[in-house]
Amino acid sequence: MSDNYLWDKSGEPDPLIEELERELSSLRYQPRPLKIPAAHGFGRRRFFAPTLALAATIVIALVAATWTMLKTDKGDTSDNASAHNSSQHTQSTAIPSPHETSQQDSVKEPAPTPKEERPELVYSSAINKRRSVRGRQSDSVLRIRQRREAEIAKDQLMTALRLASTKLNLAQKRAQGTPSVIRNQHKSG
Amino acid sequence: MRTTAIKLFIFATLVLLISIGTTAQAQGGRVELSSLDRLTAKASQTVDVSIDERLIQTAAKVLSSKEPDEAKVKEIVNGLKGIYVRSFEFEKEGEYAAADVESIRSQLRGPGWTRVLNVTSKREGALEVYIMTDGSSIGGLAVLAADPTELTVVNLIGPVDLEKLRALEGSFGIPELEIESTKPKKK
Repeated sequence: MSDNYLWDKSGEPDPLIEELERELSSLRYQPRPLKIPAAHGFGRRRFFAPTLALAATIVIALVAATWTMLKTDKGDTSDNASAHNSSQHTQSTAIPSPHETSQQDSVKEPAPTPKEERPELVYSSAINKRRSVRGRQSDSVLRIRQRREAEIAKDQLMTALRLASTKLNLAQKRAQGTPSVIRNQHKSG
Repeated sequence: MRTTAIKLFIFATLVLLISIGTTAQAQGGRVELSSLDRLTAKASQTVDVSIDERLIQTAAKVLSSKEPDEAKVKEIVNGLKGIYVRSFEFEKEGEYAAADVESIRSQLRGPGWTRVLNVTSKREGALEVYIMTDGSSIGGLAVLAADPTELTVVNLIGPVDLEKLRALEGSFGIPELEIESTKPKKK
């Protein structure tokens, strides 16, 4: 008995092999169209990129709008902030000094005995004092700078408005003096 | 598909940038004066003022409401968003070109601007007053004065009371300039 049947089914069939073939025939390859699961469809992927582009555009638009708004309101905000800061500084000056605070605390709380005095507290109080002095100095420097900036701006403002006023008056005088060359209310835009 | 998405993104970004640019350009009727900067070297006297809204508000803080003159100024600048001035005085005629004036004038021909006054004479040059109308109120002012030896551009952004502004001359102890009568007459 040759093995040709096993090789290319040309030889004499072996009943045992045939039996095995019959048993396993249900598992034989059967050609059929490919089924793609709905969850992995290409349709969804198709819309992913434009959606991403749209989302990115919206984000950019929001950032740009916020930036523009912040830029426009910068003056108000900074002025309000500085005003707020200055009021805070004023309030902070009204707050008792660390020395006074320590006195008040000493009234409220029982005075520590020399044995209970903690060196780290004394050290932190000294640091706070130094910080408050530095803070007050920087506040006054800031106020002086703001004042100087405001004075410069005021001078510029005066110069500009004076010039504008002068030119407007000159225009009116010339218009009254030479009526033949006036072309009023000419819409150019 | 990816190419389409990129194209869409680029288009949308371009549209966005253009719209932002246009808004910024048209914001409050600011006139671009930087084209005149080159005249600084030729001028014998220059006035260059650029005050934005923040600086106006800063300056307004030191203006006293009790002083009548300062109170007037405070009233005028209230609501203004910017003041920009370029003024050049030259020792001799012909130091600036017609193109310099035209670069300003072309901007004032744009939408929103209305020329309310134009006085022109060969001897004294041109004096033009433009206003930007913002609905029923004035949203900006531009004055273009082009004398033979002087070029001045004033640009105020925001609501302007012309009468109050005109009445400002003579305030702060400075007499009215009477410019016309002090100018030497040419024969």
